[in-house]
Amino acid sequence: MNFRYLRPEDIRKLDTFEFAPRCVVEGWLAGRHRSFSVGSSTEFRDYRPYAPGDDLRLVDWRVFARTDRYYLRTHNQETNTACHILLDSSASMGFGDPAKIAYASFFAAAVAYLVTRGGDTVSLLTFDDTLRRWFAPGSTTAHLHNLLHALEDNRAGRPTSIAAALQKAVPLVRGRGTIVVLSDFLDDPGAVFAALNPFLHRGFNIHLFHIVAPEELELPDRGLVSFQDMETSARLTAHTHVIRDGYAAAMRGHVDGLRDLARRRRVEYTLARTDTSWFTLFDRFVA
Amino acid sequence: MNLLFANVWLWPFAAAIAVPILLHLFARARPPVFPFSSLLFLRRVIREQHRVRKPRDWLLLAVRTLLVAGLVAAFLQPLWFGGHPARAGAGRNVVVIVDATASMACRDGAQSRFAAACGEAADVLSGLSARDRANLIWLRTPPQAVFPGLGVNIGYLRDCLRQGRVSTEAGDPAAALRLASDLLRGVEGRREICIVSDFQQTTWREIGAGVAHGIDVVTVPVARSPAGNMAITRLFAQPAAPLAGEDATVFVEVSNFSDAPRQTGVQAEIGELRASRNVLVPAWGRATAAFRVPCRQAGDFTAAATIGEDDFSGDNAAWLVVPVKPGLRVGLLAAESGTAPYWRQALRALPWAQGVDLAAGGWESDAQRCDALLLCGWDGTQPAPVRAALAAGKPVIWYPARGASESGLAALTGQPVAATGFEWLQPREPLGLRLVDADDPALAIFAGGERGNPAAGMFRGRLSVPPLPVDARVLLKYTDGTPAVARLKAGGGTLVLWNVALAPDLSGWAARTEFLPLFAELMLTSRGAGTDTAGGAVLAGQELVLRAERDLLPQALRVDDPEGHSRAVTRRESANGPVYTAGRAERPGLYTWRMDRDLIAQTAVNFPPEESDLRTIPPPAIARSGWAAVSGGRAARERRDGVPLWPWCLGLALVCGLAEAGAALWAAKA
Repeated sequence: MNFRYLRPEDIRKLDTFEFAPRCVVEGWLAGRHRSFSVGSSTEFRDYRPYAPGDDLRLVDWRVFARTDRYYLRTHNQETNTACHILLDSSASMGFGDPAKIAYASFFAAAVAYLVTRGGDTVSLLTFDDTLRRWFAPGSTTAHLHNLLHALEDNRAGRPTSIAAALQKAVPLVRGRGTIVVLSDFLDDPGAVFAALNPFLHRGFNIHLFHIVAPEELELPDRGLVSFQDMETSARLTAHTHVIRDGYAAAMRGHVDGLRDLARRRRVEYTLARTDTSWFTLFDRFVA
Repeated sequence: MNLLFANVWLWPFAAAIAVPILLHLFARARPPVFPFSSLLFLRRVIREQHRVRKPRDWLLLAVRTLLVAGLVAAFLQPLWFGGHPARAGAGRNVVVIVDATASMACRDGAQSRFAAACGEAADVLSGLSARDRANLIWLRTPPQAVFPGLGVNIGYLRDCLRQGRVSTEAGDPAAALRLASDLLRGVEGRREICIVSDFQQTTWREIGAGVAHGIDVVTVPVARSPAGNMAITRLFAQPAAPLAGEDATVFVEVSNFSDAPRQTGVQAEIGELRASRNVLVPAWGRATAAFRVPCRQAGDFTAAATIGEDDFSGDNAAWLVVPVKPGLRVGLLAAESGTAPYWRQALRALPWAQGVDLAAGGWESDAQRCDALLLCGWDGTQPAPVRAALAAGKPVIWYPARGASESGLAALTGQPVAATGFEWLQPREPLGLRLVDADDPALAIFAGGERGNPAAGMFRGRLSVPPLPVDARVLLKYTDGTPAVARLKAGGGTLVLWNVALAPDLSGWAARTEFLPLFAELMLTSRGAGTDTAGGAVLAGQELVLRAERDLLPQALRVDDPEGHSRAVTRRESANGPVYTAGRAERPGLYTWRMDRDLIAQTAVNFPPEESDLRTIPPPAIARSGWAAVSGGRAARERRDGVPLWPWCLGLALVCGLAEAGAALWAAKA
């Protein structure tokens, strides 16, 4: 079956990738990912003094023989992980050639494929100023196909409000894992990160992919044009030659603001230009 | 507003000024639509740039509006008239008076004042159109107009200005203004007199007057810098007509018209005498060099004097013709019978005197041909011939008639005299005489005592004499204080007031030996130099006139000017006989009257002394008089025709164009 955003050539390229976010994960399936939970795997983690109620099978008798004290031998528990993809589907994502939403959908499909191929679960949330569609975490091929169909059906439409959408997504995204946010972040950076706080407190590993078209970073010299807002249809007449430098500076300030807040909150931030291959995004994302 | 537009019919095109404004206000750009992800940052940028762009837009609008306004105004050809009212429509009638008097030869830098005046006058005339009329008047003696009336041939007037030459004459501004007013009288349209002159103070004593109402007077002073000058302002002999055998003194008066003392050498060539003197002349003062000359025989001799050259050279030389007489022709008016016979007898006794009886009625014409006048019993009426004789330096001895009024004395001296008249008084006791002024030249002969005492004798009657002027010099006085013989300055000469009755029943003075020498000395010492205009002296610009004793053939008569050119002579009749004229003397020097080859007379023509003082009236003083004073002919023309502003408008448009291009370039770079 051919999918628009997961083509056979993409699958062949993805065979060399493996989804392994640079963080420990928590899950209900034993797997490859380290977990904060101390469990029954074979990977030694540490010793700790015995406490009443501990399982006596975990006492390291060799240490007791040398030190005459009871120490428990602890191991890291291996588990599966969940990856939550939050895809901005507002009208502004329809800008560019290719459209930013298409670029983001390619990347989301690849991530979903990699996640399910590794046996982990993946969820998908499309939103604009409200939540549009939510696919709970799953790892089956059917689940993957559902996600791919959903991406193909997804269209850029209403105005965006990332902060509001993230706040609404807090009850949906449970447990811990990786959150991948694909958006053009045309919102107040402070509000965006304020909305991400609940996820950060819950230990989510958050990756922000700032999808921008090259025309958004540097205005093309089109002379006097009437800019039409794709979300509100408002118009603004200006000479691109006159405002391009100021606009570029404002855009740089916005990107720097997002990057600075992400660094301080220990959130991964990646600026994704749509004129570059989305494969390069995995350099910052997977091992 | 003092602004006119030459192309009024182009006024509708002024609406083009509104084009850029309307374009700015109503033109709506219809740029292509550019769908963009968000206007969030665009609005922020535009909001920040708005503060700069708005003023720039308004500046561009202003620049473009000014550009169009400048172009439109340039085609409208506005004319600016400054602070005086603009007048349009009717034709212009302009009379230009160009000062051609001698002072205009003064050089101001590279060119003379006259050359500058001609240039300025040409500027004044330029700009007149075919419907305008003009004329040119040369300010000379007398003023001369180029056309008999106003003419349209402006080019010919400009040619006249190019070929004009400065004269050595004085000018008559009042006559020139009268002539200009006459030319402008009754003409339609604007009337203007433009005076181009150095406005020499001595020539332009009265400014701001003498012009008919409705005529605009504009002055163009051309003197640029104050000029100092040294000049011979007077050359005269003392006595003016010496007798053969006596010595005469020729005086050269040198004037310094500058604010610093100057020394100069005076060279004199008097007859066969050549001499020189150095004189130091104080600032704004005069000094006189004297040359004593013996007059051995009767006849005329000439004197020429020069001083060192300076920037204004026309007045550095002067000429004089001194007539040496074999004797004095003395006219005797014998209106009083007691004294007149003794005067006549005394004249017979004097070898150098030739007595001529003047008829009681009509003696005035005969007096002109006399060298001295003895007026015995004259009542003071009709003083004109006496004044003329005094002005010519002729001695006049006057014994007033009994009961004569004081008006004659007042008329001769030019000073007010108390209304007491000359009344005859006979005191009970005889009166004696008292010598008052022993230093008088007439009494010098008695200084040694060998010729007796002039104050001797007794007198039984005398005239009462009104109080004499303070500068009167009393030689002899009666013992009661009444002046007996006195000298008075009158009419440029010396009047001897005689108050001594010579009748035998009143005194025995006529029989005394002192009488004749005193009488003779009074006549001889009362001869004066006379005024410059008396006795045939001529100034440049005046007519050459010869009054001959006998009838001459004018065809055989000619006058040679100083350059040796001959000129014809015309004859005309006058009340005093035939008069021969040879036209106006254009330049100073000696003019020689010849009958065939024989020299019969010489006329000295001198530089007018009032032209030597080169001080001028400053333009502010002219402006205060009511006449407009402008800086030059171009300014006068602009005052009349307005200042064309179209070059400025075009310049404004160009500047605005450059500014608009600069602003566009700036916007492009920004």
